[in-house]
Amino acid sequence: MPPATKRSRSRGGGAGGLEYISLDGLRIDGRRPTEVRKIRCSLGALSRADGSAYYEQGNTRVLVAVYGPREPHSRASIQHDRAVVKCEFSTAMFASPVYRRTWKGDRKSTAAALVMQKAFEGVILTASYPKSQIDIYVQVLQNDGGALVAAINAASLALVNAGVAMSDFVVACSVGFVDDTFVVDPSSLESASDRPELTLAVLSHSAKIASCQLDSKLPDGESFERALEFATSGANQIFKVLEYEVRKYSLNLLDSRGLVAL
Amino acid sequence: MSTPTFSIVRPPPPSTASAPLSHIPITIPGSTIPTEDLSVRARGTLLSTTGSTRVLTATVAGVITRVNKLVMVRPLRAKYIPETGDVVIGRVTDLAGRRWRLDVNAARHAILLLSAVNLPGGIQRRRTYQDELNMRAFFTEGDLVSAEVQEQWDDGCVALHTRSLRYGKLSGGTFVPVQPELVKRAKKHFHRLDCGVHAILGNNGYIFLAERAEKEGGATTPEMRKMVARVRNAVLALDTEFIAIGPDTIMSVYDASIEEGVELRDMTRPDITAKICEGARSMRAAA
Amino acid sequence: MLSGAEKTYIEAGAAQGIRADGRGLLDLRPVTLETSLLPTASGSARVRIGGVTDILVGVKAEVVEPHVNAPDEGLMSFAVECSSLASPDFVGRGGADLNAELSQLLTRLYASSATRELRRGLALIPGRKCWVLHVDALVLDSGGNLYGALSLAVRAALRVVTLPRVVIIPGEADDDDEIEVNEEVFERLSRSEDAPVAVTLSAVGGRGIYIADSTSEEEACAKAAITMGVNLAGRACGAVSGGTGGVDMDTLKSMLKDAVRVGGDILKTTDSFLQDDIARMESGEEVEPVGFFS
Repeated sequence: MPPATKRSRSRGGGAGGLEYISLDGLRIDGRRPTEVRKIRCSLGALSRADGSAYYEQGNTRVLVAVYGPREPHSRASIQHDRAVVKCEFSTAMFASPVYRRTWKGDRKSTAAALVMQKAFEGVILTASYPKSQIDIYVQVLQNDGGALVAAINAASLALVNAGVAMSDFVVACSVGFVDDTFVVDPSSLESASDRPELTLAVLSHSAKIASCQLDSKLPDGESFERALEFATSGANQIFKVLEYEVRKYSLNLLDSRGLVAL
Repeated sequence: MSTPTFSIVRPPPPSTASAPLSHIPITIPGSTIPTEDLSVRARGTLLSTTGSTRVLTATVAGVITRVNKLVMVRPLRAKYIPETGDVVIGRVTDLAGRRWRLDVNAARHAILLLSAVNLPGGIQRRRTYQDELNMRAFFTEGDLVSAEVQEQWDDGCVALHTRSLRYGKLSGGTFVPVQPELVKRAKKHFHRLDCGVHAILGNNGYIFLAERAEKEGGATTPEMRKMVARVRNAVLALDTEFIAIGPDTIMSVYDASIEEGVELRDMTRPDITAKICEGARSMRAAA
Repeated sequence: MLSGAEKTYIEAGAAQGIRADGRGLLDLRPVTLETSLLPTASGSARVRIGGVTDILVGVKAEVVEPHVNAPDEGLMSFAVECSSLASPDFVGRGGADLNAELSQLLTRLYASSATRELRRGLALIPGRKCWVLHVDALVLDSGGNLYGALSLAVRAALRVVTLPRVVIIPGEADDDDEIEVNEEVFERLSRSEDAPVAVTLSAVGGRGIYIADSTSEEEACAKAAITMGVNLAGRACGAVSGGTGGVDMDTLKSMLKDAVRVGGDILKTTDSFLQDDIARMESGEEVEPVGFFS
């Protein structure tokens, strides 16, 4: 049954009396400001791709496929000393709560794909795969906010599933700002077009920043550093879940195939 | 009332069994590998500097393997990495200038030089201009070829050869791609299975199943065709269940499917593959 | 890409009635089906055939004005997208032609008089308001028989679609009737059982030989193919043919008869499978779908 997302539509989104943080300090879906939504994920969801992952963060759901490293599609894209990384970000027609037929070539999708390409180019050991190509394809199945975050996390899982060598494990988290409070992992209800939102991708072990996007300026008095702190803490929460999932999946494979030296 | 010609099932629920073998440490890209000697390291590892300390980290998710003083991480799933001496099956993608290029399920296509192929008229005769023009007569686009990895060049390109009578163009059978990490490195890659079907298990995960070895002739009987189909379905079941693929495990699934009375077309049903692979699963090396 | 030798093997097999995976000529690969995977859609279904063809369908409903030529019918719009997840060939505009062809097939399948009652069931106020069902299909993997998989997934999704109950509030003048959507009560589509399935038969190898539910390898060997829409009443709803080879008249007649029979088998087996899903929906029982977890 369709969920009750009608509130914001009928009241015109926020300013008209919608309370994002209750007196108890809880958000609309019952979370605390620093809490990330429930994450469920699965590696190897698609059998044809070299690597893949299915990822849910709250009601946002994405599928990511990795093809490669493989022979480059066109001679023009070959780099003699490293692999070329290409990303595509596509949203399914039934993904948004309000019906919308989007096209994967539109501005938002192309921008998201570029953010991902830059983030992963920095962490994939491209020098290990000269003259080849690594493709990362994102398909958003349901978007309730944080689709890019979900895509980055799913892509990390898919790259691990494909056995692509990386210097670290990229994890993403976003931070919004509602009712004068920073909220980690805002849902679509909590993200409005005029509100600041920070999307951060970090390297989990070295804590370096792979990518940082800030939409709309932060309110006066609030520091960029505070927003980063919230995002980093969220990313650490997420990393714990993903690390556990990778270990569980790998142990299952090991159990199946056995410790045969290949 | 005619019987339905197909089956329709719900997807199997994910297993809720707790993680087995949980005493084995699995790395994740970026995780530190404890080691004494940072200078002796191999595949799957990276030397990185954090502040003033140098640390060995994993680059893939896998199991840490230590051989003598060499530390490496073997990824559990990865694209095929060719090694000299491997037996592979490749599909010709294009040809030009005295060489063919083949898809061997690796990061790049492999090269097969005209000079590395057995030609009619003797093993070591010189390649003539005629041969060059007739390259398509030997192997054309789309052909499946069994070959051996001869060498790896500096730029990472891999060269194949078919200089043994056992290698060459494949016909009279069916092609089955599987995950390369499931094909055991063994002394033999050309097998005649107990049921009579011939199987070439390429190190690169490309498999070819035929009714008979290349050089024999004669028409295929329907019975033989069914056997090849049963082997094909057995191989795919092992691939789905992520169980090592070898003549022993293939025949285990083959026999189990017959014992359980599983029809050929039902062997790949998700609820049936686990059942017929039980025996093969227990053949794996103990942890 | 297929080698000449593989094509020969497939054609010789078809001539003997045994395909590479052991199926008979008209046998279908095992199908996995699950409905109601997308909670934000009015109806959804995922169909996988042989583990290599994978379709996800989501149906979303909106209230719009009916078409001028059919004021007493609702609308159905179909869009198919081949996801890049299925193949790097579909990146960018690579899948554009196939998307258009597949969307067109579904549109034609549902445009005939055989589905008129279904469309009538979507009308609200004749000439002024009706439901439009946006039926969107995502191809997640393409391993042969896309038409069959698409039509099956669309049918399954439609069988479980629920729409909020609409009450007509009569206005003062004839044109002033208004509708009120009751978001608390949901109803299934009337006549969803009229949804057809597409059966493709491909001519492979010798004269008079054809197969159902072909794999991508078999499709590469097919000289010609006929796709027919079949509904529960055994009626044909649209037919498409393709391929450069010709099919002689006797074979064509035989193919059409077999297409109706195979289609009938598919419809019967699918419907008895869906009884569970539909019963659960009507009793309000919520079941967690398996979805993409394994």
